[in-house]
Amino acid sequence: MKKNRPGSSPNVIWDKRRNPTKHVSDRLGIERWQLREALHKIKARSNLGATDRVIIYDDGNIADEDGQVVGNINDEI
Amino acid sequence: MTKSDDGTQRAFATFRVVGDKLHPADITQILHTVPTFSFRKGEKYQPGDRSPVMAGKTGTWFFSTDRVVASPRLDDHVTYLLKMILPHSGATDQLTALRDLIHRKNLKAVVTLFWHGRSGSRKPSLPTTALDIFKLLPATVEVDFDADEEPPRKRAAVSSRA
Repeated sequence: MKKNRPGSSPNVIWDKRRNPTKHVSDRLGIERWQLREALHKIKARSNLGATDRVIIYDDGNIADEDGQVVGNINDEI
Repeated sequence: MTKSDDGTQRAFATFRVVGDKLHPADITQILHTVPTFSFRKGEKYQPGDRSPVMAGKTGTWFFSTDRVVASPRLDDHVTYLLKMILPHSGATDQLTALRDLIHRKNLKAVVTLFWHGRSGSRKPSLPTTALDIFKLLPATVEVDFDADEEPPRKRAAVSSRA
């Protein structure tokens, strides 16, 4: 996975409502099915719907529409 | 084992009950099942080492079949969930107790179905009979099916006439 430099802020790599593309999983260094699986579990556990919009950062963090972090992809794979 | 010859790369199902008045231990007791995750409204929890400590927005009892059902067939995952609320045909005690609790405490139940397949593979059909039983709780059902994107096609060589 691509690492941010110490002290730098993570970058948004996806903020659309639909399922993230292969480009996003490539940025995180994982397979697309792994990204979708992790995202599904984080959303379900956070009481978000499958079609609810979330923001994906390049450090693996997932935030809801309010910007609140609800999980990290790397904890799920 | 989750991959199969039909192109399935991953399949599982989740079940959750949520609500501000939820005491997760009540669901655990009714279903005789330890949840994958649970917390009360306002309770602090941390899903993993890389996730921050969070406070539950609402009470949550969450169960995912992905760590307990080793099958690429979505049907097997839904069947596992179904047996949690209806262990035997005609044994409706758990279903009734859960439905009463959901009604009494104004809770919400949700079943989610996840499937991911290789490019071009056929999406599974919904196990409608099993899902109809969940609707008795009542539970809403969310479907999240998708497949790998088609690989980019090679462009045909353009012939030029001299």
